[in-house]
Amino acid sequence: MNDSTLIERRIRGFVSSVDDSDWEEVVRRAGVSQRVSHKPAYAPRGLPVLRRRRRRRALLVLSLAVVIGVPAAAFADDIGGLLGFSNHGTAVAMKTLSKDSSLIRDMRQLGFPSTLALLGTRQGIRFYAAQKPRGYCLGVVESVTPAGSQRPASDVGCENGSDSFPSARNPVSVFPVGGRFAGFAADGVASVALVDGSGRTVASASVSQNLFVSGAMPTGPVTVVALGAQGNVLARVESRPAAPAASSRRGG
Amino acid sequence: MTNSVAEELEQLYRSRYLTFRNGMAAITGSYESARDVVQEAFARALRDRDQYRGDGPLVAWVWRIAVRVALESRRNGHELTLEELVADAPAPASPERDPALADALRELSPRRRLVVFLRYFADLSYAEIAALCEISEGTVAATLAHAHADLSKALQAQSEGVKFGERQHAD
Repeated sequence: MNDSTLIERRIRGFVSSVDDSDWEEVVRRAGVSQRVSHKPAYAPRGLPVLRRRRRRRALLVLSLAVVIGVPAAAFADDIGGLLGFSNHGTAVAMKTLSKDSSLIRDMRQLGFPSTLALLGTRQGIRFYAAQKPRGYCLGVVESVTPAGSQRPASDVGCENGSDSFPSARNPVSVFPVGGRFAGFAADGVASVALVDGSGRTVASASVSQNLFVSGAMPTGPVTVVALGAQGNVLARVESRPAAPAASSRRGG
Repeated sequence: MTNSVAEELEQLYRSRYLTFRNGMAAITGSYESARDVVQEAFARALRDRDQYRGDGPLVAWVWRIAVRVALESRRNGHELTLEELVADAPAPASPERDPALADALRELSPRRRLVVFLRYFADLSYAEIAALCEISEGTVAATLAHAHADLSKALQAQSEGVKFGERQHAD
């Protein structure tokens, strides 16, 4: 071992490994609202980070929406008013989504309320939304377990903020799930396209009742384009490939 | 754009907080002040994310903000440069861990000390250091090599009981 290596090792010996980080404090200092989410520890590298959420494989047992005691219509009106959805959905209890307790636990940590609205099922993906006092929570869960997997894919997340979905700036919220892209669209969005750096449309999906699903998720940077009924561009949201997975310090 | 930047900022914070905090501790002289600088830097970055043009690494942009915050906290009415800030810092943050090396680090020129801090405390790449200090990567490598030589001599002199005196540097 030469002098430089020894010195480097000694210098690094000064470095403290005590982690006193606190992202929520950063957000408070910034005076902005931001989605509270857990980083998917096993998110495929290169997958566009459209909106980071808790992404996971989870056992989905529930196949029937369980309507709980909350009047569905009243709940749906709240959802509709907050999210700008015409799709009101059906109220279900969060705990009925899966037998996998870790999914429920994670959803609670993210801030999901105990009651959600099942907005619909598209191509084997169930779409959920939930109202919070200052924001919303959204989730998608595959209804079948892919071959070779123990649990179906799911992706859930919550966020706050005046600019958050649905807004003029963010009329769509995209969830990569099970190698596809799925998402929610505000009223007035007729289709969604993913455009690569050269301007080529690499994936697209029609919106039906505020929901959409498309084929394979592209692996490179993309721009999410929300289109109106006449093909007019309503908004563009740029996305980039995910950074390499972080160490296991925090965030899961 | 801005939402994805916000997500990247959160990811950057969660994955590299310690390198920011430790690197800044070497500059500010304490982990407590470094933490405050890093928290404020990320808060500013999050608030001003519209200003990030994407024409360079996000990490370098946040580092520049962090340095600016650190400079502001020590400015006391007059403009400081990063090297001046480093020159005044009682770094490293935990000298008791290796007093001999801490003494040797203090004897380095501000630029050499800064590059050493950014390389080994903040764990920045040569390219990131170059962008932050507005010098070439070659200069980073040369400065680091000079710093190693200085430290080696200083530590050897200390072990031989020879006083490590003032020296001139010309990076």
